[in-house]
Amino acid sequence: MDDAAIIAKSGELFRGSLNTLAIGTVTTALAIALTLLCLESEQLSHKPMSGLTHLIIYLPLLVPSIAFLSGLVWLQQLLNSQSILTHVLLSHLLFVLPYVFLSLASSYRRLDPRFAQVAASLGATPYKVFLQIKLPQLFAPILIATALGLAVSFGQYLPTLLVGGGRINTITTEAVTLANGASRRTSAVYAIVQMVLPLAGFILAWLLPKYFFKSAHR
Amino acid sequence: MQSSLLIKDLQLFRQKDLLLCLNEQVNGGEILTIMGPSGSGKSSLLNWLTGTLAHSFHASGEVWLNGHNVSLLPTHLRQIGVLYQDALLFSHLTVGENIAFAMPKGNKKQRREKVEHALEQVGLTGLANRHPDNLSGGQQARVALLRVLLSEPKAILLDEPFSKLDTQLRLDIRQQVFAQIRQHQLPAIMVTHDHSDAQAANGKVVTLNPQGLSHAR
Repeated sequence: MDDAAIIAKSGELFRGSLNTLAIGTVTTALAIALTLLCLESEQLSHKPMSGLTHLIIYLPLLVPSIAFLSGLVWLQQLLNSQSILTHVLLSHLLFVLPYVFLSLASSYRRLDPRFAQVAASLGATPYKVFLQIKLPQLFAPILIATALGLAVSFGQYLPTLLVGGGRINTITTEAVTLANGASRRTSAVYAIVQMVLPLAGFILAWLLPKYFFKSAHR
Repeated sequence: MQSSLLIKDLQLFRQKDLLLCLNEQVNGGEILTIMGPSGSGKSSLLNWLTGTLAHSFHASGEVWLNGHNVSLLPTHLRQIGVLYQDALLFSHLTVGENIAFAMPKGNKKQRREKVEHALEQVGLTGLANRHPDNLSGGQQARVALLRVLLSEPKAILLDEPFSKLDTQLRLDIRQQVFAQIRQHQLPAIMVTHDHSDAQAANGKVVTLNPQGLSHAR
């Protein structure tokens, strides 16, 4: 490979990583926000979430994705929207949300309700309790759910390819394409990047709680 | 005007069973003691007063605080502070931040001085920047007391607040809590199992029994 080819390849790698990160970050942020709001509203209204809601959230985990991806593509064509990125984001959200919800729900529901009661009896509004008590106390579980959501989004192949119509390249779609190609070295680089991105997320989720909102128990 | 907490025609039900009936007035600086076995509705009574009654319970009656009916207000507007048997300090905040959490907004320096001063009064000088998990049980209890007092409540509820402390500490903390309640002239209701708590409170004692009737002694 000459220098020009290497520069072209690393440019592709860079764009692919950037796409992967951007899609992953936006999707995971949406999933975390949705999950937190769901769980908080469940606690404020004292009504446990219905079985149907759970079923809808977890359905993408139960049904093989190939079974409903064609439906998703059909829906996208029906909407006739030109914004492919939005569609890819939404299709990723469909798969990221159940994992994020699954990983956050138990820690959120396990949080001692008396902390919220004490804060409220001290005169803190529900808004202040949510932002200043619940979120900091759940900092570690939220980070782990974030890392998990990022990892799930990074690994999506079919939704990115089908919904994006092949026009949005991520590390994963590129890696699959390159796997058929001649250059094993390029494939190896993609495989390593594919491994390092989720790993970085989990390492951050492990390290950050040691420095922020720390408590002696952790 | 003297502060007072008035419980008017309370009837507390678990599902359909009547748990307790209560009609009491507590004046500022007085401590009403509620005693009774587990399951007699003591904790539910406190939950009802703060507006956090569990959904398997329901109640009729009114709470009046200093001449205002607060029965329909949400918890954070009632200005009724609670001390539980666990200190329940927020572990992501320092001792000083815990105490300042509910202090009325104002000048940062004044707030810090107020926290320092309060810590000095209960013998915890210089602990403001420590982490609550590194304090002893007695120190945590005192920090929890300061946190409630500096939020400037209009009444205080004590939910077996001394039951996890050993005997000597128990006497100290109890004496400090009661002294602060009297000094601030707050109406207080204490739920306890321990007769010595009731004697130390030196106020009216109401004993609940499992059948849901209450007698004053």
